[in-house]
Amino acid sequence: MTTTQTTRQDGDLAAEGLSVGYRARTGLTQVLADVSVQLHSGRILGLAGESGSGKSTLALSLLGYRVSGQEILAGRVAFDGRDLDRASIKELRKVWGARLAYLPQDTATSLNPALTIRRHFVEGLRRHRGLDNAAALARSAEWLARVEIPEPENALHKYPHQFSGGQQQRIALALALSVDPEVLILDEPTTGLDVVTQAHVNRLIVTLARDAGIAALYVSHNLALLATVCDELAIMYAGQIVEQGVASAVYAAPRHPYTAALIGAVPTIASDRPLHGIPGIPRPSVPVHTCGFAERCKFRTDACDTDIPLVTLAEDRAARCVRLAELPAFDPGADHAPATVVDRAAPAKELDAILTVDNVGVVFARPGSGEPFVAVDDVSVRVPAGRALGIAGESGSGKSTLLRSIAGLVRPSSGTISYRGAALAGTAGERPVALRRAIQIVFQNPDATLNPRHTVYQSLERPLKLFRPDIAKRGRREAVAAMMRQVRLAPDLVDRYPRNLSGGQRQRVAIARALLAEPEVLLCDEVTSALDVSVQASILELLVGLQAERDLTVVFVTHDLGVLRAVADEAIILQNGAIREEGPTTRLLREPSHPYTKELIAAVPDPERANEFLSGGS
Amino acid sequence: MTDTAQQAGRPRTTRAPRRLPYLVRQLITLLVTLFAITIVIFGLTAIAGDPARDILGQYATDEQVVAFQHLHHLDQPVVLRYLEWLGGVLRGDLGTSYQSNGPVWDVISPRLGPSVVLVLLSWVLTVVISVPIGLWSGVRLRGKRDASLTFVTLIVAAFPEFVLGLMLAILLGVWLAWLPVDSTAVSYGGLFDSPSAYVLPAITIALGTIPYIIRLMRANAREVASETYVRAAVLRGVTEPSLSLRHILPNAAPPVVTALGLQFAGLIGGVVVAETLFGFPGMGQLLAQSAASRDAPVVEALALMIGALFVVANLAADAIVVYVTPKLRDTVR
Repeated sequence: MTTTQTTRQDGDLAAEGLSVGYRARTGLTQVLADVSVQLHSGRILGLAGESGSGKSTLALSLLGYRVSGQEILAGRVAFDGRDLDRASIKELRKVWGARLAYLPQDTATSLNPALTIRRHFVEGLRRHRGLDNAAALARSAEWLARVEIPEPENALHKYPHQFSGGQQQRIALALALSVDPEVLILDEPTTGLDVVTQAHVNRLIVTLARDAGIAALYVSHNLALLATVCDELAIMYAGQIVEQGVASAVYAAPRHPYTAALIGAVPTIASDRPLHGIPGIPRPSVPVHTCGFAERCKFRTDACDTDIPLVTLAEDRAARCVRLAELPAFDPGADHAPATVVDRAAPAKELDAILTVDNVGVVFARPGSGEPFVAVDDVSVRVPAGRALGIAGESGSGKSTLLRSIAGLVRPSSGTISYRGAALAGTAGERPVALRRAIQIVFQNPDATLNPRHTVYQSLERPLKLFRPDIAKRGRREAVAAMMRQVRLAPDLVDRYPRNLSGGQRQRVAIARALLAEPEVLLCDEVTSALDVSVQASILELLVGLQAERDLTVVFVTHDLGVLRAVADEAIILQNGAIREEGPTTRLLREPSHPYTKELIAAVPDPERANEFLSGGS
Repeated sequence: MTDTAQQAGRPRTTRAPRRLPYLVRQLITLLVTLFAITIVIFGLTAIAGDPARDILGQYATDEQVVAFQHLHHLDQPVVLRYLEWLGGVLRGDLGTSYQSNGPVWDVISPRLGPSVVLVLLSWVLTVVISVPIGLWSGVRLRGKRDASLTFVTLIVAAFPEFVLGLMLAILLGVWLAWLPVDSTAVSYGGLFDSPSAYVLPAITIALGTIPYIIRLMRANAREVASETYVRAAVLRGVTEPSLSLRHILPNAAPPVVTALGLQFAGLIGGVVVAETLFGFPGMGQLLAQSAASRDAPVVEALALMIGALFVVANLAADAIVVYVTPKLRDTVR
């Protein structure tokens, strides 16, 4: 990693043996247990873990922020000689924004939609730095320029929605840094952004934070990203730190089985590291007299059922596992379990095309006057039967629109889409039932596609009623149960409502619903991007497995090249609606020829090329 | 992340026809709605039947009835009468009152001023009382105190206006004797010569809408207060009152503005009740009296005016919502 430029000792923030719980009517749930982390000026500490591991609670606790019902059970948060966990709200308001800055998770809502950018900036600069209006404006414009917002003076008068997601998050970053804080807490600051945008924002975060000598905490579920941008890493599971150390060392040779599993779940493009989900779901609360990860661990023994201390292995390395002495450091690159990565021998060209897209264009009229917007521009592609085609590109590249036009949800403005040689009607409604059955789609967000008032069974019964009248009412329950087994959903979930399922389970239901129609072609629109890494990995494993088992043709849209490599035999790279490059996925990622493909690849965080990534790729 | 959110800066559209400017579209909506209102109003009074016998009394001769019908064109087909009335309205002639035999306008005009003042007063009362209470309770109040406020608003909402009006009259007018129970004083002298006569009716009318607006404001403020951008503001050191007034209110206000427009109907209903109750010489009282005495031309004119007021209030509320919501301001053109 790069060397620290400035060092300010006063900026150190530390949690010491922090235990936090939430009090509800049902009792106390402990979410953090004996957590000690220390932030140092000019360095970034990465905090990794799945949803519900307590990482966001830790991030907010470090700021002294208390959610209602939250209780500090033990330990303290020390900052500049005072205890933030005990500080009065008055004291906290003096440090919040002025000395401790926070960049929240949701890109779309980190800025107030009703206020101009100017108002956001001026408020803090006046309050915390005592600047007058003119000086505050000048400083804001300067910071907007530093995060590469075009026309900064002009941008100040705009509202958040007039910027793209990446720009909004860069503005939020500038806003946090403009008051010259000593500590910066980043809570999944780039989740939800495109790869290229993500890389851009991360580069800025790292450069600006280091330049200013800020002590930063970077919370994310993406270990590869953290290992790329952070100096140190802390891995969190069930409210405990399970491993801690220098980022590159932890990533290269993890000592805790959970760290190894988490690394194995991140799709990467550089190495041939296989992709594995972590079975089971994360434990929601702190474990008592047992290892929190035991129930999902491959290396579990009876010895695991005890309180396990965090063992210091070296000066800057610690892990929480009873079997540390017996188990050697894991090598995430060499896993012996069957790999999810596909690499099939038969060249795709020799296979019959089940779907053919010929010169398809989709044009949307803009409201009022102006040029029409070309979402898909003259795309031709053939999808061989029984294979998986990946469509990759940034947001706005037209990848989803292309998929939707195949599904018959968007009528192509020009060109034809054929299924087994016969042209398909423009919209699904005009297609015969048999064709609608043959082409099924799964969307990004299962929350939005599952009827919240239907049980799993009701949702899964629908495709049977619609497309498979041959199955009598009595047989449906059986068919649903069989499908649930196939997508690895426990049979007792059948009468649950979506709200009582986890995100991964909901997406499995959505996939099961599509598969119950017995489709020939399964269209997947970013089906894993709303999910945790470990869940994503298991869904991808499932899809690849099902595809092979059922000889299914899959068209998979994603913005994540790692995911692309995990599922797609062949891929096309879209930019501004047009194909920039196409070919077998492995070759495409190994030897990209189009500059745009190269740009996309450079944007994928890779700890082995951290310096390259942070300096801007090429 | 969905493509839509990513493309905030880039237009992503479905097929949209070329559209007229927002204000012109609103104006057309207004005219079409008013036209529909005239049909409904006239239709309803026509369905109510021939008023000749009711107005002339049971001892009127058949000749007198025929003469009355002829005088007021009641012997002509409904459609013709409607067109004649509509033509009159467009020329500014609201017709002739059955009761006074003078122009309807002369019957209505002295009552217009007091009623407009009364409605505005109760509307301002509603806003001034419910918005701050709703905002404050949504952002700050939790637990028992919050539940008590909800309980009180529910109790007030449960009472019909005439009961509330009577209770207020007994409390403030009789026991404490602070305010006149009878508002007839308004009809003498200038519009603002007897201000105390406005107070009881205005409070009565406002109490009909205040609980509803408080609850709506509270719910919206609470929802916005839990948004991440509010938490982010708190963690930037933003304090009250800036947090509530600048960060929460502008985002929580739009649904309340819409409701305030819609509540105009409730307000007008309250006007009829309160004016009758307190003998306030306004349009509401006139409406009640004219309906009872079957003075169709006056009822029609009043209904049309009230309808127009309601439509204008709603369109204005829509326009304000668009104006105060930056995101809408850009999409609605």
